[in-house]
Amino acid sequence: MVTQIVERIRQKDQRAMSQLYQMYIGELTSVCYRYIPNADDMKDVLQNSFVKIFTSIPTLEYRGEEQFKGWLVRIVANEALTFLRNRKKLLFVEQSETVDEIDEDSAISNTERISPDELHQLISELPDGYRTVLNLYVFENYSHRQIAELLGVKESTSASQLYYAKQWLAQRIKVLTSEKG
Amino acid sequence: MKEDWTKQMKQKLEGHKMSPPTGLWEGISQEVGLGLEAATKISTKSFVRWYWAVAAVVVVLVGFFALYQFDDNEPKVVANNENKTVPSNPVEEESGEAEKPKETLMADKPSIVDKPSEVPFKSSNPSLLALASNNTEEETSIEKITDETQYDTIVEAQQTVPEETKSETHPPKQTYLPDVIEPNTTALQSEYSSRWTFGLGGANGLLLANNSDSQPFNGNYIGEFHTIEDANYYKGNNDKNTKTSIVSKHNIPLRLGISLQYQLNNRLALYSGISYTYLKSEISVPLYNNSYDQKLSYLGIPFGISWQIWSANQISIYLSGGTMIEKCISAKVTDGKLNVYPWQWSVNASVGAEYKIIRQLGIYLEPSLGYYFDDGTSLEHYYKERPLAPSIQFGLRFHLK
Repeated sequence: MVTQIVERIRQKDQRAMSQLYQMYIGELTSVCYRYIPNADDMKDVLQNSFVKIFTSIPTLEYRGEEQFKGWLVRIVANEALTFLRNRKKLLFVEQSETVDEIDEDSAISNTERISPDELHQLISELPDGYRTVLNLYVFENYSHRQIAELLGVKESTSASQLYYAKQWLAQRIKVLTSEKG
Repeated sequence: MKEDWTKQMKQKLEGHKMSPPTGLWEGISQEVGLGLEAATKISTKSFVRWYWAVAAVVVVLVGFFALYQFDDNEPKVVANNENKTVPSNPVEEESGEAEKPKETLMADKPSIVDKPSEVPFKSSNPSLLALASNNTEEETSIEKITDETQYDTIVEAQQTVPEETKSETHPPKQTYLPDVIEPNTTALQSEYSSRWTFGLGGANGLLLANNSDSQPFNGNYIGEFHTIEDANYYKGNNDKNTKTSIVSKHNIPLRLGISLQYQLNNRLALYSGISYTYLKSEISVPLYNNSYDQKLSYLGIPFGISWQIWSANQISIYLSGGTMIEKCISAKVTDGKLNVYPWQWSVNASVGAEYKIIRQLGIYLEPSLGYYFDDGTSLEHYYKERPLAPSIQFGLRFHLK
């Protein structure tokens, strides 16, 4: 079905564009919100992303639905990163105090008890630097070296930001689950 | 174990969805320039409203026209009235007002033809008619010209003076009407008395036939983004420097119209009407090796004034100037529709010539120069590229009785 939609978009079929939008907008909004938890900014980024998607599809070499979806997500993520880089310098919070070791076993069990919406919301509440690195590393499968190149930071900074992000999340998830009882 | 937690988070959010921001699709449609279903719903409503507005204007114009056409009491003021004015009036000569330029007197009375509601009443007054046939009485009336409050009565009386009486007593020199000084007013008489002219016309930019040269530009028509890095990323191609350019070729506009013209006097006329304009463009994206046609239709209402500068026999020359507001009513591309229906405002000036084939039918030709203001959208069309656009208008005019 996606193959046909892509093919029809290549032939300037507007309904196909609408169908593609309807099919993926929910997930792409979720992806975008993880990077930019501000409704107005998110709207701009999503709009730019879809413009890019529609204008790029004619040259796209379609290789299957999974890869196509990955391409869509990558466009949204790239646009979000471009927005973040253009808007302001990303702040990477370096914690001077000694941080506790993350108890990932309990983090896993606590994460089991929260809903996807709650996890999504907690990620969106992370500080910009933490959130960006976590998104790239966990959800986009970038390595610390790639993240360092993308964001113009050291690999160690990327690694430390990821660590702080996970620690921050683990604590918040723990609080949330304890509130649930 | 560490990877398990991040994997768990990723899996938990796999397929997670959120409601998109309000108005996102409309924004995308506008940016891409292609109207899609959701985005065009709102436009459709305004579209319907626009049709109603046009229908209302048509009804008003037709109704206005019909009212005047079937009003038998409409005054027929003779333009080349040969009655004289003041020169023989001894009272004025004595009072020192005889040197007052006659033009001044004429200029003071231009409104006579614009008072149709008063004249029918007077023309039906038998006593006035009787008075008018008497020379002595007429002179008495002329004396009253200096009294502006009696002006209408006097003019009506003058109209009823028999031709013989007038020619005997007063050589033709002057009239109260400011616009009949030209010696050829006889030819204009029927024009002026009919007042209404109905026209069918067309126009195109013949003078700009060579304007369809393709002009590449850093197109923003199908969006601001033309880098194809993401597509290349997908294909494993890292060449991110390629930019897309859009080539547009705008065909000569075609305009058809129906017009109504109302003669204020035998030189000045107001006109309005409805026009349909068709703009076609061929837009291509060489990089993608594809192209499509764009077809825009506009409905417009012109409004302006024309001034006849010369007239002889069956030919008249005139100048006109006006403005036109147009609304895009259809915006299509190959296999689809756009969702942008902008307003277009323009002003224009023209010089025209009309040849009367018969008394009530003339053909006209008008070289015209128009300026089309930016409609504020990213829509590309002929007038966006050539805001100052000369054109040739031509058509038929029916001078109604």
